[in-house]
Amino acid sequence: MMKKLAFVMVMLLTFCIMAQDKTVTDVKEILDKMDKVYRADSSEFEMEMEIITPDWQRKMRMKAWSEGMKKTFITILSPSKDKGIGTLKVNSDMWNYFPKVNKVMKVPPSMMMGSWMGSDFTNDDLVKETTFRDDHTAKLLESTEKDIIVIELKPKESAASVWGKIIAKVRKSDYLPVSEDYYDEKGMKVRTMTFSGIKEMGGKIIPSVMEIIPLNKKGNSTKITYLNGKFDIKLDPETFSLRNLQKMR
Amino acid sequence: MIILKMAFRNILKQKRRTFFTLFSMVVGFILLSISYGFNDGGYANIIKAFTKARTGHIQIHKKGYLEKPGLYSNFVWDDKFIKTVSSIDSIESFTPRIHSGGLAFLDKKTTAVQIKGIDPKREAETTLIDRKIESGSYLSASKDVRYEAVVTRSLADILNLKTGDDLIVISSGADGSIANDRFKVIGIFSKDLDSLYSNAVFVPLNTTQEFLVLDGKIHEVAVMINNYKNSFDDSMKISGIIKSAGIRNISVEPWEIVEEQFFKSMNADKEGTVLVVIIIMLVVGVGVLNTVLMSILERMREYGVMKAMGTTPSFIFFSIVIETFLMSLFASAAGLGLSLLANWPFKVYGISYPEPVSIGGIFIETINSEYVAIAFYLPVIVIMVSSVVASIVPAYKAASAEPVKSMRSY
Repeated sequence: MMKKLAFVMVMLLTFCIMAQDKTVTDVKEILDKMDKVYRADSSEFEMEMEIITPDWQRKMRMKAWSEGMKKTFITILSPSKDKGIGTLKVNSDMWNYFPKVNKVMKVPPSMMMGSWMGSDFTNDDLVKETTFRDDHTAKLLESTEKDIIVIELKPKESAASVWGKIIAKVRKSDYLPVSEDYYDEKGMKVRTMTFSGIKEMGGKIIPSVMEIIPLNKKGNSTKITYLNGKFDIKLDPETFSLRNLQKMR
Repeated sequence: MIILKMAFRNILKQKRRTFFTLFSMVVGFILLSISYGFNDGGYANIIKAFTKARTGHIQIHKKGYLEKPGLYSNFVWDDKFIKTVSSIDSIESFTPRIHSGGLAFLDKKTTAVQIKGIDPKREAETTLIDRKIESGSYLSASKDVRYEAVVTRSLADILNLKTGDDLIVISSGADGSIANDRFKVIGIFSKDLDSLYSNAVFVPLNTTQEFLVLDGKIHEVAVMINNYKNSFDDSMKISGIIKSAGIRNISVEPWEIVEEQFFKSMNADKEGTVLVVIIIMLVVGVGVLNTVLMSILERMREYGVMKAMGTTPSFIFFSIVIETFLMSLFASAAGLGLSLLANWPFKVYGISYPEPVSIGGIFIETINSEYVAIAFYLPVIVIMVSSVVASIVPAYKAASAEPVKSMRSY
């Protein structure tokens, strides 16, 4: 009898551990999926960015190339006044290029939290190399919606992150992101990102519209709409060079 | 009438004594006049120089700009606005301005700059800024000339700028874009302007509007009126006229509010010198009192004889007071004329400081006196009142003393 009971106990325990393991893998899988929504070994996108503030509104069309997490190149196509303005990011370095004055400016570390091209994205958003999977500890939270998984992400101490925590909502069916709420270190919600317009693009299913609303700036928002894109394409290594930045004008 | 005659005779009787009494009154008068001319006139000159250099007598902004200046705190500068403001009689000139900041580059050098969008013609009319060009030339008033700039000496020194160089300026556009362009430097201002505008680049208004995407908008209008003392009244007037023209959300403020700091520190300074003037007034008053007293005491014996012969005390009392009053009247008349003369070199040439003194960003090398009303009417009052007051006690003494005693003791 005792033996039987012990066996059941051991079985139960093993099952529990296994079950826990299962959720851990699940979360990792979700995070991995979230990290790779817009990322691939290489990509090329054309997108539109609409910035709204109480004082002005602006629409820009731009083209972006990326290679892994480390390299990104963005050039503005329109309006014509800004055509050719480019941003190059290699590792944690970032440069802006202004064709009118033929000037490449390195973005200093002090400007990393500054706005990128007047949008609600910070320069840091473009540069950051942290991933949800490797640089955050994740905890599943109870979801009030049936098809939604809610995850709380806290940056690991080793990760260079400006956030206190991120609450991400993803679809249960395909782990595509629905929204991400960013909190500062004091626990105040600072900005909200929402994802919509799920579409097939370049062989991948992605939310084609991404909207960011900073909560500390009333009336501001930035919306990025992906117009078309390709993934895993062969890119000229020269793409991510300062020379190319100046050539794009 | 005889009392007046007596007073006159007394004045003329001892000419030397009268001369010294008058002399001390006149010197006191001139001293007071000069010190007031410097105090009030000097500050009037500083205010004029200060308002003329940058601020203007009155400034027009969007409501709230002074508390929180910013790129978006702007208003429309159009024909309607210009016409409305032009219609006000007391305005001599007015000029629009845009204020922003940015980064300037030349070769490998970079520095933060103030960007000043100005209407070349109006700004020159209002603040005479065109006269402060040291090398090169001032901005052209022609609308076709664009992307030209004049810079302050300090900026030229930092970047090693010369006229003819292409200065790159990067700033934030009002549409959220990054404003970036090249400006040909056609002139450099003299050092004088550095204390008012450090590291500034001046660009024609229309170019600045295009550069910063401000589309017909400006931040400030500086106004010169025909009398700076009316700045408060005229501000109200301008404000009313602008409002009735249907232009909303505009605030009109006199320089005393725009440059509150300067105004307050100047007032504190002025109060300090009032003390000096009071001391001078006291010295003058005591001097007059002394000579009047002496001239009466000297004649106590005479008064004793007059009383012994039946002159009434009140006659003696009033003849002394009237005598002093008449003298102060002559002294004032002479003082007035001589003060006009004495103040003149101080008004024209002033007094030079060994080192220029900075007041509110303006360097003052010489302090000039000014013909201000107070420098002439106040000495008249001080001399007359102090003389008459000074004569009352000795006059009373002379009138009430026993004739025998007066004749014996003096």
